[in-house]
Amino acid sequence: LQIEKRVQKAQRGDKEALLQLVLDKKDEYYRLAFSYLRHEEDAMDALEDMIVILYEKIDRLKKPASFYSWSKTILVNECNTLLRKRKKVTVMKIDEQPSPSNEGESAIHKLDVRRHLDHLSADQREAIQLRYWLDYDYETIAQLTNVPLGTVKSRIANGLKKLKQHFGGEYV
Amino acid sequence: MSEIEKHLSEEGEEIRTLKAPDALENRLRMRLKSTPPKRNKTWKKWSVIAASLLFAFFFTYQFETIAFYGKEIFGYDAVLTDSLRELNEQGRGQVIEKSAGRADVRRKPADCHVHDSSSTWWKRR
Repeated sequence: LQIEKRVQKAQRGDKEALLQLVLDKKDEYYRLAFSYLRHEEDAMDALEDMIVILYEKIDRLKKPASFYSWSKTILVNECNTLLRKRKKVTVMKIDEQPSPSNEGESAIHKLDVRRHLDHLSADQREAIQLRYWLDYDYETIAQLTNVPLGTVKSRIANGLKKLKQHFGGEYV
Repeated sequence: MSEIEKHLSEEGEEIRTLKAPDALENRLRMRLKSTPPKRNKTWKKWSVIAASLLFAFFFTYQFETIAFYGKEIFGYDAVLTDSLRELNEQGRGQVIEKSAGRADVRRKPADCHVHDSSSTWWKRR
């Protein structure tokens, strides 16, 4: 109920109400963006872009209760746009750059999993990351990535199969 | 859960416990502040319509179209035909009331004959 009131306020152009809505779940947003971009600055950029789009389009939101799933879909789209831009700009592998958040990571097999993830198609990687990294259920993933439930399931299944092949039986 | 799924999930642990940086709130606030306030959409729509109409009137050549349809709409011809009778009554036409034609063609009766500098009308009964 609180959410709906705030959304209605934001729809009337109240910037502070919109900001509070986002800040209430800032960790969730941040994790989502980070799982895509794996970079602190980029994740914050994506969030900034998202809040501008939210502000411009919130009056088109019909159901105030679905604010969070709607805004997360927008965030996912923004992340994908940033990833596409990044692909054009740099040929370096982001994974191998030491970023501050990776410092604590010592186990080699973790790096392995990450590197193997890059062998998957973008769609499969996206679905697997949302499922296993962020613990989202199939339905949420379907909503966020704008595809049918069956597609999500098959993307995850195929992605896992491919990963197993790349590991070559090491972890199967 | 297979081994691989466990690994994936373990790796996600790092992200699942992630906290948004403190700078985020400030950045979002500043960005939102710098976005221009939304304009009234209906106002925008009507101004676009008005501007395009003005554009159409001033920058396209369509006086002939207006002349043609103006005649159609305002019934120029009907007005003219009606006024023939008036002209006749004013004595500016010439009453004939005779019919002419060859013997093998159907005869055409004529009421009156009005005349101006450019053309001649025959008004039929």
